[in-house]
Amino acid sequence: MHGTADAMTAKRENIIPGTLNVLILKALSWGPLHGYAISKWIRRTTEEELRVEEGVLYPALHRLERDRLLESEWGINDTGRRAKFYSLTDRGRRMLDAEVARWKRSSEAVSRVVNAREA
Amino acid sequence: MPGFRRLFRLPRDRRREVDVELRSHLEMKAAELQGAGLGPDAAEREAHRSFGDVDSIRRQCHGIQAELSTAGRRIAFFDALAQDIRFALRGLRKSPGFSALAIVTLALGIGANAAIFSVVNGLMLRPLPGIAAPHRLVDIIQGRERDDFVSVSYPIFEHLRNNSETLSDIAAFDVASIAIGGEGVPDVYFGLQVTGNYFSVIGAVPEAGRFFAPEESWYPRVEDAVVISDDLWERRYGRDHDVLGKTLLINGYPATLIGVAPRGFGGHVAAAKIDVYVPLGLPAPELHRDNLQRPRDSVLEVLGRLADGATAASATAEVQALANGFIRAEEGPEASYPLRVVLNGAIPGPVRDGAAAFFLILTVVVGLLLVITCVNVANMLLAKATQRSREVAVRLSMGASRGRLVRQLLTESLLLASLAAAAGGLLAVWISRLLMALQPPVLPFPGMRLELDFSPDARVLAYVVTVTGITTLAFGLVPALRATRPDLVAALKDAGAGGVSPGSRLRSVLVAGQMATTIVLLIGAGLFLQAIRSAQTIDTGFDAANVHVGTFDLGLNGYSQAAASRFFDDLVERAALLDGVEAASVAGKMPLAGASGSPMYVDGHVRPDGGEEFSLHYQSVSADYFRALRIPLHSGRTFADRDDAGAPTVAIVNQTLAERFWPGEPAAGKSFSLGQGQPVEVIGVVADARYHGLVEPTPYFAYFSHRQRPHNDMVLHLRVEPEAAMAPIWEGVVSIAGDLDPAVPMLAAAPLTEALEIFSFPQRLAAWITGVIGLFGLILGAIGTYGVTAYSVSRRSREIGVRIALGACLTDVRGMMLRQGLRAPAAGMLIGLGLAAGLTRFLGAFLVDVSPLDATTFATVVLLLGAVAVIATLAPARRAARVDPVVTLRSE
Repeated sequence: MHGTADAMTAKRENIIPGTLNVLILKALSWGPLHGYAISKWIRRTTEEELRVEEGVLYPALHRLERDRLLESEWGINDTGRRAKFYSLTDRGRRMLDAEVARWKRSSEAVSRVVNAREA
Repeated sequence: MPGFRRLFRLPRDRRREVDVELRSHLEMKAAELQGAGLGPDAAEREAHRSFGDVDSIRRQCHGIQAELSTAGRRIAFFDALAQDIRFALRGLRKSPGFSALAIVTLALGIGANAAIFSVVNGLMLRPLPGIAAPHRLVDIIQGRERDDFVSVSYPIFEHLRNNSETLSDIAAFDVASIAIGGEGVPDVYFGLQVTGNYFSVIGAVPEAGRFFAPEESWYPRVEDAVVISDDLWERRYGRDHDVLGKTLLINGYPATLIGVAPRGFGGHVAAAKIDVYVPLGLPAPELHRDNLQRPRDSVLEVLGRLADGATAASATAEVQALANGFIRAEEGPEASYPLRVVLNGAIPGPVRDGAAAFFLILTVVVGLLLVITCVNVANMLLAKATQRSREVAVRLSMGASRGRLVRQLLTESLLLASLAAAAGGLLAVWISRLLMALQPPVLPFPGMRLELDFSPDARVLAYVVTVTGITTLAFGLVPALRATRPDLVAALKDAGAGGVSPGSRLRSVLVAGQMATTIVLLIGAGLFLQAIRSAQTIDTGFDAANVHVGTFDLGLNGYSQAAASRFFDDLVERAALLDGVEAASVAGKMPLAGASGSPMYVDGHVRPDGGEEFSLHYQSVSADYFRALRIPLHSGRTFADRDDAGAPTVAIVNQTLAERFWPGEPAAGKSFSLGQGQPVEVIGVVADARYHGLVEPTPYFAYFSHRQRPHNDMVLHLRVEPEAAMAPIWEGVVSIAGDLDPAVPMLAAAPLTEALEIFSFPQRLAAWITGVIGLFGLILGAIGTYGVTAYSVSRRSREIGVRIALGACLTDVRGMMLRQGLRAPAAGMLIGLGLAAGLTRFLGAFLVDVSPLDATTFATVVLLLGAVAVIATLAPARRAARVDPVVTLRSE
C-alpha cells in the first residue's frame, strides 16, 4: 500500500510526495466524483497552491482502484457526458482516516520544531 | 446493458474505458474553458496543455488496468461479494426491528420445514444400518389392494422359497416378546423368531460370533441358539466376548448365545428395535406343528431379496402363480391365495402408505407455512424498499447498474434467510429432540423398545440449504426487481399521491395470496384438531375403564395349542376368584390391536362383483370376554363349557355381520365357513366395536372360543371393582401363573386405558404437530394480513387527508376504505375457501367422524381472518383520518 503511494509520488514541482493520494481520498469523502471533478476540487481547495498536472491524477486513481481503496462506476455527468465516477470503499475510508491522523501528528511535530524557541 | 455485463461478470474492455475516461476529462475541461470565453481550438489546446503528456498517461493507465483485469478480476468478484455482504449487514443493522422480525418469521417457516423433513428422513429416507442393498429387499404380503394381511402361512412360504426364481432368497419371521433369565423374574425383550437364513437375506455381518447356520437351523431341525443385538450385548453384558457360547434361559429353555447382530442393527423396521433373535421353532419344533402346517394359517411375515433383473411387479406375478398353484392342489381348482410383493421400507408395509400420506400432508402444511412466511417477508421488503427508494434512486443516478443493485438486495435477502436458516435449524433440532423423546406409555409388545432417530444429517442439511435458497428467491427477488425498477423510482417521488401506485396491484396479489394460504392452512389444522377431539369421545363399543390387561406368551415355552388353552382356562377360572375382580377373560389381542383375518363363505351370498369370498376378521376369546369389556350381547348366548375342542365350531358374530347376511332373522343357528374348513355355527350376536385402531370401518367380525381356536399368546383381561388396588390382584395372578407353570412369565401388565393410548398416539402426535403449525400459521397469517392490508391503506393517508379536508365525514371514509381495502382479502378468502374445500378431501382417512367440509371449522377460520382483515383496514384509516389534513398534505 505504502509502496504504491510512494511510487506514485507526483513527479512535479511543489506537490509533497504522497499527498496526491490523500487529496483524492479526501475529495471523495463527500461522495462519488468523476476524475475531472476531483481535479477541480483539488485546484479549488488548495487555492492552486498545490499544483497538479491534471493527467497525473488518472494513474493515481487507477492504482487506488487496483488497491481497492476506490471503486468506480460509469454514469452520466451533469452535462450529459459519460464519465467514470469514483467512490471510497470502506478500506479507502479507513486509509483516509489513518492518513489524516498521521498528517496531523507529523505536521504538529514539524510546526513544534519550526516554532521552537529554545535550544 | 452494462448492468447485466456486471452481473454476469463479462470481461470489460478496460483499455477502451481508459480512453473514454481521458477523453471525457479533456472534453469537460475544454467545455469549461469555452464557457469562460475561449474559442474552441484554443480551449482544446489549453485542455491538453494542462493535462500533460496524454500518451504517456494513457500508457500508464493501460498498464494498471491490465494488472487489474487479470489477477484483479477474481479478487474483484469476491471483493464485490464481501462488499455486498458488508453492505447487507449494514442494511440489517440499520433497521434492527425489521431484521429481527424477518429473521424470526423466516426461522419459524424454515424451522418447521426442517423439523418435518428430519422426521421424514429419520423414518422413511435414511437407510437402516446393517442392511446390505436395502432397495432390493421386499415384503411378501397376503391380500388384495386395501385388504392386506401382513402374514403368510408356513407351507406357502416354504413352497415359494423352494420354487421362486425372481427372489434369490426369502426368510420368514414372527415378532415375539422374549424373556431372558435364570433365577428370579426374567427380563423381557422384543424379539424375532426367524428362519435360519434371516441374516443372510438381510445381508448382515455379525458384530461378534456367528449367525444361525441355515442348514442346522431350519424348521423342524432347529438348533437351540440365540442371537442378540449389539445394543443388548452392551447393556446386559458390557460387550463381554466370554458371554458368547454361554447358555441362556430363553423363556425357561436353555439356548446357546452364538452371536451379536451388527452395531446399530435393530431389525429391518424403523423405530421398533429388536433385541433378541431365536430360530423359528425353538425350542421344541414338534410343538409348533399345529400352526406351521396348515396352508391357511397365516402366522409368519415374509421378507425376500429380489434376484438380479427382477422387479417387485415380476416377483408379484411369479409368487402369485406359485401360491395359487399350491393352494389349488390342496383345496381345489377354485381356491386362490392372493399375494403381493412390495418393496421393503423402514416403515412396515401395512402402515407405509398411511404414513407416507400423513407425511405428505405435513409437508404440504409446512410448505404452506413457508409460503405465508415468504409473502410476509416479501411484503416487509417491499415496504422497506419504499423507504429506501431515495437511497436506491441516488445509487442508480450515480451510475450503479440495476443488476448490481439487485444482486446487492438479494445478498441482503440471502443474509436474512441464512441467519433465519441457522435459527430455524436450531429450532428443528430442538423440535426433533422433543419428538424423539415422545414415547407412548405402553407399547403393544412387552419389552419393545422404540428408538426414533430424527437427528439431522447431510440430507437434512442439503434440504435446509435448498429451502433457504428457494425462500430467498421467493421473498427477495420480486421486491429487489421492483425496488430497482427505474419507473418505480420516479413513481416513488410522489408515492401515495393516488390510490393506484405501481405497487398496489402487486400488494393486492400479496394480500389475496396471504389470505388464501392462511385459510387453507388454518382449515387443515382446524379439521385435524376437531378430528382429534372427536377421537377422544369416539364410541369404541367397549368400556375400558376399570379393565386391566396382562400379557402371556406360551409359544416359546413349547406349549402345544391344546396345552395353552388348558393353561389359559385355569388362569381365567382362578383369576376370576381373586378379591376385587368382577370378570376375567383372555383374548388373542387387546381391543383395537387388530385381529386375524380369513376368507369367509356364506351359503347363498355373493359379493356385488360375483365373488363368493368375504373377508372375516376374528379373534379367540374366553366366555366372559363380553362381560369383562361390557360389549352387549344382543341375542343368543356366549360360549359354554360344552364348546370345547371336540365339539362343532361355534362363533359369536358382530351386528354388522349378522345384519349383512341374515337381516331381520335371528342369526343364532345360521352358519358360515372359513376356507375349506367345516361349517361354523353362529350362537350369538354382539354389538359392533372398534377392532383395528380408531379409524377403520367396521369389518365382519367373529369371536371364537379359545378352546376351539387356541392361541399360545393371549392377553388376560380383568374387570375390577372401581378403586380396587391392583398390586395385590397382579400378585395373585402371577402366583396363579407360577402355580400352573413356574417357567411362564407374565410379560406386561397395565390398565387397559393406558395400553390403548398407543392407538390414539398417532392422532395425538398429529394434533400436537398441527396445533403448533396451525398456531404459527395463525400468528404469521394474522401479522401478514394485517401488515399487508394496513400498509396498502396507509399509503392512501394523503388521499384520506384530502377527503377529510374537503369535508368528507369519517364514517364515509371508513366505509370507502372498508369497501376498497377488503376487496383483496375477500378475494383471497374466496380462493382459499375453494382450495380448502378441494384439498381437505385428501385428509379424509385421518378425519375420524369429522366431515372434510366441517362447517364449524370453516366458519371459525373465516370469522377469525375476516376480523383481522377488517381491523387491519380500519386502524390505519382511522389514524390517517385523525391527522390534521394540512400535516398529511405537507408530509408528501
